[in-house]
Amino acid sequence: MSATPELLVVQLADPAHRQRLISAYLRGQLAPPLRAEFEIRLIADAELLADVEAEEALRQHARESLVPVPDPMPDAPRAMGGRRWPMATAAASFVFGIAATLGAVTLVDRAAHAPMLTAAEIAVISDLRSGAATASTPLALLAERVVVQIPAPNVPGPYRVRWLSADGREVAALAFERPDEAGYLNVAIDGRARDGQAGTLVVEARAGDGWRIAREQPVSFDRDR
Amino acid sequence: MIGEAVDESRDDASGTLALRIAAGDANAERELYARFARGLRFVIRRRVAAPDRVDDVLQETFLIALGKLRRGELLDPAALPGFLHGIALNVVSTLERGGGRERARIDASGDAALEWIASSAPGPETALDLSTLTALVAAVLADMAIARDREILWRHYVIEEDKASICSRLALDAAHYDRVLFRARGRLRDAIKRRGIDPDGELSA
Repeated sequence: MSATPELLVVQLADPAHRQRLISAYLRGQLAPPLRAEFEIRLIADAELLADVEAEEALRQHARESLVPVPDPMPDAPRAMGGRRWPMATAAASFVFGIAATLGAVTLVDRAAHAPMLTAAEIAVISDLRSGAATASTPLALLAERVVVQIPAPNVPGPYRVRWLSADGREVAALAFERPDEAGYLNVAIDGRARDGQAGTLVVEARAGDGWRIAREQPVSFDRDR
Repeated sequence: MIGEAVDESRDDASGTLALRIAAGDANAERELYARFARGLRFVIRRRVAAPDRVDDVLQETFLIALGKLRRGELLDPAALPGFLHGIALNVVSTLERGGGRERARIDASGDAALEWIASSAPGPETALDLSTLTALVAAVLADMAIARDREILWRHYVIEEDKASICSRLALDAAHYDRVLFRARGRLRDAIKRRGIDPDGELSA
């Protein structure tokens, strides 16, 4: 988006553009020049300021006021032996998935996953603690798609799991209203990931107007384990 | 276009204000604060890491700005909002670097306008308290009776799902999505205004 003041005025006169700019500003997603122009407009334009204040209040307080939508998706399986376990009922957690792909790694929500899983298709990160981990956790890719069960942070949700590439770029993100009955956030890793490929799983919890990092876990993929 | 006409009139008003301050009009100095303090405070709050320093930065910004405006240092009076924004960012930058406060160089004693600003926080830019704001949001969202509209709001505001994904998931057209968000925000704006803070930044009587 351009930072031209005249163009900004035109864009703010269009309701859809206005909404997009306000959301991007409050999410910290405007590039510095556009952010500066937007703020100058904010100082000068009381109507825009009122809109941004209202949007910020909705972002901060909507969570307490909106009843979560019912989950149309089934729950994740438990990791047990070699038996096949059916997905649990819709009473458990639900996931809002935003699938994205870069390279060979994909995070997908469980709705795209087969309803029956074997233990080979499940990986558990069992030692999730607060703070940034230094040691990398190897994940065995024994199937085409592996569900990774990540313990949810011990704070109220919603939660978000982000996959960052080795150079720190966000590859994919998934948001969860709450964990499943066992306390896990379940994400599916596309098993086409290359052997030895590495990145970082970042687990965040919603805190007021933004997301707070609860855990950063370096992960590497190992197809031969 | 209407937006441009409004914009030009605002630029003119800002320019006139700057010229009046340079000419020694004390009322113009209070108008400056009344007109811009709320917006500046919002921007500063988004920029400052320590929330308890917001009012300090706001006051500092106005003290510096008034000094410059009195000396006629703003060459383009119509650029007043950008001028204030630039000063605010400099004050924030100084603060974030751990620098000393600029106020030490500004003698406000005996200057009614500067003394008033120096003691004005929290002033007419004061926002609604948290519990009132939470209650207003709850009331506005409770009025959104259609379940799908509430789901749109949940996904947009809480989950931060993007527009394309929400529209795809709920089989919505973009215009419907925009309408729901516009309606919720507009209703909250009206509710806030009814509770005593109008969009011009003044407390209603």
